[in-house]
Amino acid sequence: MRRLWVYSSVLRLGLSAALMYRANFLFTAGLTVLVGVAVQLFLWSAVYGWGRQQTFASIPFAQMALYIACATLSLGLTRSGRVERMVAEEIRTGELVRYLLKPVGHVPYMLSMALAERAVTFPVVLALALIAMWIALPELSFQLAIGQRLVWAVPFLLLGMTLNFLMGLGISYAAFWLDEVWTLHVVKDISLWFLSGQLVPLLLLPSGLRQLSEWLPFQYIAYVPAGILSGLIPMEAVFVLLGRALLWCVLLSSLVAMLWHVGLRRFGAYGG
Amino acid sequence: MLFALRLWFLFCGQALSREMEYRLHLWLSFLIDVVWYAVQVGLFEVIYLHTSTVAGWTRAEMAVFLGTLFVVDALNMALFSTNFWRIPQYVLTGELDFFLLKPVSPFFLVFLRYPNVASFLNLAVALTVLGYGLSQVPLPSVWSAAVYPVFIVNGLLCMLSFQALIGAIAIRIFAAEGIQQTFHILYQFGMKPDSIYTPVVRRILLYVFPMGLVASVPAQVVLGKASWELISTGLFIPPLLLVGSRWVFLRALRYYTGASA
Repeated sequence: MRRLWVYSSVLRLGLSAALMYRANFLFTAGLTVLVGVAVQLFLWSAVYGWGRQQTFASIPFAQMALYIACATLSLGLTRSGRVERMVAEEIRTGELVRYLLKPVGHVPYMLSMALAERAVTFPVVLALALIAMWIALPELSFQLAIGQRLVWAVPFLLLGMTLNFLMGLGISYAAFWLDEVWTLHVVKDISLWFLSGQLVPLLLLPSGLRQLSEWLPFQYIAYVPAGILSGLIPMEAVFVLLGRALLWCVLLSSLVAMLWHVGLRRFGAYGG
Repeated sequence: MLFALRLWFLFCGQALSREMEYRLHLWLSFLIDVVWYAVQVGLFEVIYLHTSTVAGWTRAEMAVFLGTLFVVDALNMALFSTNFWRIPQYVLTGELDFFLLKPVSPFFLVFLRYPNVASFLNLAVALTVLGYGLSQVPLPSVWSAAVYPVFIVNGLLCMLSFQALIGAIAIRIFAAEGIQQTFHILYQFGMKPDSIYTPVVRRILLYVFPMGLVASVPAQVVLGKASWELISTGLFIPPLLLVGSRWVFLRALRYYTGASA
């Protein structure tokens, strides 16, 4: 109970820190999402021949547009942030000792900070997804139960956020062995544009790659939440996906915890 | 001019020595752009699994477009990009003082002082993609092949001009990272062929914010698809833009008060 109180305090602190630069953060994040969605929509409009072609790989344009908007929003929300990257710098400079002296676990402490960082954008992303659904809905030939889909998308967004956080933290813990891990964070973020399904729905991949993507954790970051919101993923599949996403959370948490324990043995901080 | 070239080679030598000290960093930096290239190629490869043309571009023509984009991007990363990101730091730490005191153009020093060695390796990958694309399309005419490098250089000048304009803003305001990111966000418009946009947006990308000149116009020139309007715009706007942005940048330097004293 006491631990819960500690981490809720960390969450509140993190929220204050995130809100300190809200104008700059929302401007950059907002522009990234808006330009990303706009360029993607122009591309997919051209792919559909500006209305001449009704479907592409059996997907109507409105559904594809809704998917692209939701996937970009989803990746924008779940992408790794300042918190995870900061850990590598703290390991390098030795500032990590600050956490070692406190009665808190490093992973839950960082998770609380990361949740606070994302909490600022979470309602904005959900509102924008709702607007995108509302615009696309009259164009869709099938019934899209907005309420039900939004309710199901929320846990997947949280799971996607957690998975991306764990990947980012795992990379930062590599700083116990490597001098420079910033580049690995960038490689991960760029790879996720494709692997998470932000640029193209994963169901359009060749069958071998598609089957492989179903067993990897990246799809929960953008493809699954956006697929649920746009109707590309049938509601019957959500329970299986939920189970697999939770399994990945457990696996990655264990891996990150192992990296922390092994890495800590190599850690040395010097100075007064 | 010859002096500047000798100086730049000296900068390259220093950059290479630095990178050789941190070889893992060099290879990881190389990896970043290779992954970026793979993502861009992957997107279009998946689309072309289900269609034969996108906005009038076949798969082979798109490879030429992507190759052109990668070449211009690799040259920009190798020459200017690292320097562009350092501008706020120069202003905050007062390092810019030392550039202003040297008997070389501050514009040259600010944008060319730190070449990025890893991106020269990326240039080889970019040229491979371009070579593959060109091998898949009919041979370009002698005229197209002759002027294509000029258009590539002009695309690079466009990139430098935008960075110089944003650099000028960075000199005036202190926390400029957000503004610098704006350039990379808007650069996304140049990462796709201009024919995917509506006529109005296409005009904007040619005349107002000429990101279309970075890769789309050079690729159309070598493919023999460019109209005279595109050719003349692609030839004349980038040098004018560079002259204008250099003037703005040098004017902004007048407001720099130094921070090291």
